[in-house]
Amino acid sequence: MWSYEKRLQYPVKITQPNPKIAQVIISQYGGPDGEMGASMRYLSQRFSMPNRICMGTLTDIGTEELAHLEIVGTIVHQLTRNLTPEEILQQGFQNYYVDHTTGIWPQSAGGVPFNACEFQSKGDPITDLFEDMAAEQKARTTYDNILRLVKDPEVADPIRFLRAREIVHFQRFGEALRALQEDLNSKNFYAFNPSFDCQGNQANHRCNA
Amino acid sequence: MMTNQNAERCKACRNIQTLGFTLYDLLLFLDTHPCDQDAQKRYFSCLEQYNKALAEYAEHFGPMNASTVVPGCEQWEWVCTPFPWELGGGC
Repeated sequence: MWSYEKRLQYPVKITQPNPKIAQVIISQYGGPDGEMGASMRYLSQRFSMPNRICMGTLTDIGTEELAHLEIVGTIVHQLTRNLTPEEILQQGFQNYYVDHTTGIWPQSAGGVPFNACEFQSKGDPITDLFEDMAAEQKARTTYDNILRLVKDPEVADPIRFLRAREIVHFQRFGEALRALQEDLNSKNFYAFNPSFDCQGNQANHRCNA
Repeated sequence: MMTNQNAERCKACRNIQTLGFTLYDLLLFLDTHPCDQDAQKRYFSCLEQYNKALAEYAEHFGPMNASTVVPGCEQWEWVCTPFPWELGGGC
């Protein structure tokens, strides 16, 4: 169950439209390492986690990613306000505009639509947590790439916030992975799928102690 | 120029964002450190301030969530106050 709070996690107030940079930033809405993929990845993977540290971490980081999706949507929306047809053509926004006007639609900077293949939910917690740590780094790299192109401080500021959160999430997933591995035989971490091959033998020692 | 009322609202909103961020960051920390007593203490202290700030905000500027809608208003305030992506009105 979710409930909505009528505020952004971090403030966004962009006064100067810039559809060229909006087309780059939309990749973090629906691109390969964007916030839509991130939230769906974590919120889907949590069902097959064998302990509650992993379940909780994926639930809460997945929820925060939904708040980040809203921040990125807001940035793109504010960057594409009050455009004239001339500005749309001058700034190369016409390809997006013709299909979506200035609505928000999940695609990559290259125009590739969002696809569930942007993430995995493998049903193996070690496999999934390694993917999650890599995903946080890929998103951080994308935000770094965006920051090299953005000159407007009103745009760079929330992007820097989002970048910093990727690093915190990487740390938390690393801790969740350690918690999981502490429940396993240290001589044989990768020999089997702890969720599928140990069914009925749930490792919850921290929360059940 | 921002009106006084809007400046006050922005200030209250920033306070909620700051408290909300601290609270959420502590939540993620506690997910992987469930036995950390100090973090729990900080979480509950922050939660108290956060709920208080949400209630005060609702009273002056409209509800931030459906559970803080103030009863007795003529109109349903939830849909009468700005959404966060609205420039110059959002939060």
